[in-house]
Amino acid sequence: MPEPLRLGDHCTKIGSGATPRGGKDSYLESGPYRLIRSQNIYNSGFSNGGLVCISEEQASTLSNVEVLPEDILLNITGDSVARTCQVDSAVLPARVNQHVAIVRPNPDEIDPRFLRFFLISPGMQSLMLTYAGAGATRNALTKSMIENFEVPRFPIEVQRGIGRTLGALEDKIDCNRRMNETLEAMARAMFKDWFVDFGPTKAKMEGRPPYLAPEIWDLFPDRLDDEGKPEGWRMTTLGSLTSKIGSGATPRGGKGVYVSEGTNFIRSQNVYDFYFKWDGLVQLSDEDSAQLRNVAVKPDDVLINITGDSILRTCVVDPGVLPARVNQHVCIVRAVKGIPARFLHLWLAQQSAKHWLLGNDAGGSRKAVTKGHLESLPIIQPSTETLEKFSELSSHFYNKAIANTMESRILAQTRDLLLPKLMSGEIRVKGAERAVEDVL
Amino acid sequence: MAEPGLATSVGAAPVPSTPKKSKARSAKNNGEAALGYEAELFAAADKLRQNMEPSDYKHVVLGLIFLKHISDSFEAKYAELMAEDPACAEDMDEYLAENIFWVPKEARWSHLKANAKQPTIGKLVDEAMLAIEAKNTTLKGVLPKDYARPALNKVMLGELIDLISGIGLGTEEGQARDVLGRVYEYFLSQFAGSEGKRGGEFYTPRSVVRVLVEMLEPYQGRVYDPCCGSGGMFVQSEKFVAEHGGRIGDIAVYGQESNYTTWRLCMMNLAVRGIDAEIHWNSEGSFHKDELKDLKADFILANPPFNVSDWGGERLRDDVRWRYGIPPTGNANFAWLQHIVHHLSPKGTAGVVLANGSMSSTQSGEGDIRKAMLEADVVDCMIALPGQLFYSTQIPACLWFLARNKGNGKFRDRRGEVLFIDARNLGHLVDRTRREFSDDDVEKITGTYHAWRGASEDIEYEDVPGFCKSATLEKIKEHGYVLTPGRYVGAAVEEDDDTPFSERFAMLREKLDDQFEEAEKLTALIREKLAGVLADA
Repeated sequence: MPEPLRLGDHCTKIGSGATPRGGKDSYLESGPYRLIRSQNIYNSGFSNGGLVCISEEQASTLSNVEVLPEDILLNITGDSVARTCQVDSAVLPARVNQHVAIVRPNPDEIDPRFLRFFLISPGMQSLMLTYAGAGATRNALTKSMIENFEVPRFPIEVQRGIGRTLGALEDKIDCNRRMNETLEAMARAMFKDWFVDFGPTKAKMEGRPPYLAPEIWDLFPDRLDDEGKPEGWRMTTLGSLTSKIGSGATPRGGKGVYVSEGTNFIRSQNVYDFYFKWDGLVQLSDEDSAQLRNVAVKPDDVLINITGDSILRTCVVDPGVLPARVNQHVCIVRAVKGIPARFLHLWLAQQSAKHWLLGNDAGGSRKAVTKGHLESLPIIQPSTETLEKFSELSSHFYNKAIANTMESRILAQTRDLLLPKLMSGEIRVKGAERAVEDVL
Repeated sequence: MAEPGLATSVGAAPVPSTPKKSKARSAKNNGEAALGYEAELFAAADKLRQNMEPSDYKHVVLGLIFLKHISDSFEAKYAELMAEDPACAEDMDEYLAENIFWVPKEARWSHLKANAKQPTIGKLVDEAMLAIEAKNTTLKGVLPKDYARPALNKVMLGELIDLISGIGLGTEEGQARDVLGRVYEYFLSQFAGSEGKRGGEFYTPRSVVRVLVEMLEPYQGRVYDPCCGSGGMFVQSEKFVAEHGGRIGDIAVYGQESNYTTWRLCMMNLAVRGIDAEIHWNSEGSFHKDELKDLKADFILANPPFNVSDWGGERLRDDVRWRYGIPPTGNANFAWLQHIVHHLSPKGTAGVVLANGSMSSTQSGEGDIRKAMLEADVVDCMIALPGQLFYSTQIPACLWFLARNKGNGKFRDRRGEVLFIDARNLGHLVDRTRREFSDDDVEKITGTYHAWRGASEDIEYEDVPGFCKSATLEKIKEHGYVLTPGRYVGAAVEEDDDTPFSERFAMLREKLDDQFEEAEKLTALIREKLAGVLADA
């Protein structure tokens, strides 16, 4: 490898911002400028979570830290130090606060996307954390540390090629995530129309023309009964549609019991509304998981968080995660034969069901929902044929979503494998420029 | 009435003629965190505190504010008399006749202020307090008298006196006294905040008290609080009367408090406000030594300590108050509720703050007591509160509204019905840990209750899914006599958009098509790129 580049020599800007006078009280819910803070920056990309706005006047006092398209943002203090991403141009115009540095390379010498991949490479991440830890009281990266980062010296075309290769993998991961949101939304729209709004039955009563395919349309009753639900459907409780409702436990020994290879152990941070989150998934030893065999997760189990801040977040377990166990904060809801798991899941995910369950919150210092609460949750039981049809149609959406998730995991693994090797020059992307132009 | 231990009637200064402007401001500004002047003053006082514990410092500061207040009232009257007839100015009776405390020469603020920088200032303040107590029997035992203690920094004390001297300066006479009253209350709330968990023992946040007061509307009659803390319920009740065109004194105020220092804070708080009250203290508390045994109150407001497990219930198994069942020894919640119902007049209504457990617990017979109370139809309305309203606890709390007779003709006959309000989504965070109701929130809650209770023909009550529901006793029976509002009010209408299904579905399909196309392009790109990674075999 040739002599590396000193980052500071090839940047037009390295610098952090400030918090406007008045601190967090001065943030606006909407306003002409965004103020980017460390919580918006993740190695996986820019996050809009908690993004705040500032006024024209506040922005003018921060005009020297104006964020431009393609800028690299780097967290320089605190627990999130070293996290870095490229700005999402949709949030511009923006400024950064004092915990975030703008790193703006000269694009003729260092490709910004390449630089971002370089900064999130394992080697640079651990280097930055080491540097930051050297501070007296708190984690901090100084401007001179950043200036002295040594960037591999590649021709600019090669840098761009690396950026595009790794970028394509990330773009597909992002595309998959968005596609899954759409797929999920379609299943939910169908669920709501059929089982909550009773759309087809009401349309029939009002004499409107069928809006569903005939074989589906015919499944719906022609009228609502005295209780306002489609004739022939019945109200029952979740308990009567499930063969198991139960939560797990954490083996003695706290975090020390997690092992690197073993049975997956699902905690509340893995259960999000509508999707299973793989991040932070831990494993138990065979011995510990054997202790928890009565809470072995089965395919299609519905998971729901029953305590804490994430209470009542619910998803259906991802088949790729099995075999698995759950801890005491996560409850398994298992449908009886003939009842689709997705039907139970979407029922639980409704605001009205959550409200009912939380309304039963009997107090104590934490929010909690018990097995008894869940069992007594009122739920509609439509005709078997309707449920079968729903299950069949929605399974297409869900199967595609599951396939996307699997693919995304492989894409991420590929990226993680390639990234350090490309940075070290161990492998190269051939004919980078030509290939890209052919495709785009 | 039993000989009151330290009970006494606070004959206080006459109502300060509240200038319209300041009243409008304080009425509007219910946000405790939003008062400008008081906040600045508190910050200045807090700076002087140095390393003193807020719980100790509280008594030092509040005692001085009180002293300044009665001294100001006195000196205003003194000046008036000097102008009319100087001979009367030193006649104690002239003051007592107008319910103004007699302040001897050595206790007057001007005297203390002149000596604020002397090392003997602590002793002088103590002497002033003693002199006032000696001349005004109603204040006996109320005022703090340990300013001379060596641990109290005398320089700090001098500076504090200077600071308090500035309160109300540059305002008119009457207004200055009103300002002192507000400052006293503001300081109480701030000390409650800085004492954290223990602060809740003597102070109920103002927005919660406002809900209680505005629900019950105590225009006139007897108002009682069996665990009155620093007297916030009374201050707000009097304020309510004044704001609705009544006069102070239209209501008679009765209270009991078992903590001696809190009782003293209460006595001063009421005196500063010019509220005439009968507040009792004994260490045994309202259960074991009910100082107002025969009192039947028209309005009872209370924020009893939550879930008290050592209330001495085992010594009180048999009592006239336990009409609906003997409360468990391990939890005083249902002892408080029954104590309160017992003290209601035939048309009386009560509002009580309790922990959420009281609405659903079935342990140790609590479920049976609740059932009996419902069957006797004394429960009028239940409100679920949002979290973080209180200083002392993160436990979610609720409000119970009780009525001795729900068909008494004063309002609509609502026997056999209970109003449930779920206010868990109301309120806003004023700082990281504490939530408050805005004026609109208070209005929304109390307006709903008044409409339901039939305040006027014009306003019709309506159930609002997710917020309020008028339920029959049969319905409540179906729910096993659990009173959690969430069970009754149902769900709010789902917030997502009302686009018809077919439209929504078509939109999503289009989006999905675009994403499929994008995915295909990306897939091709990735294939191409990855093919270029390894050397051709």
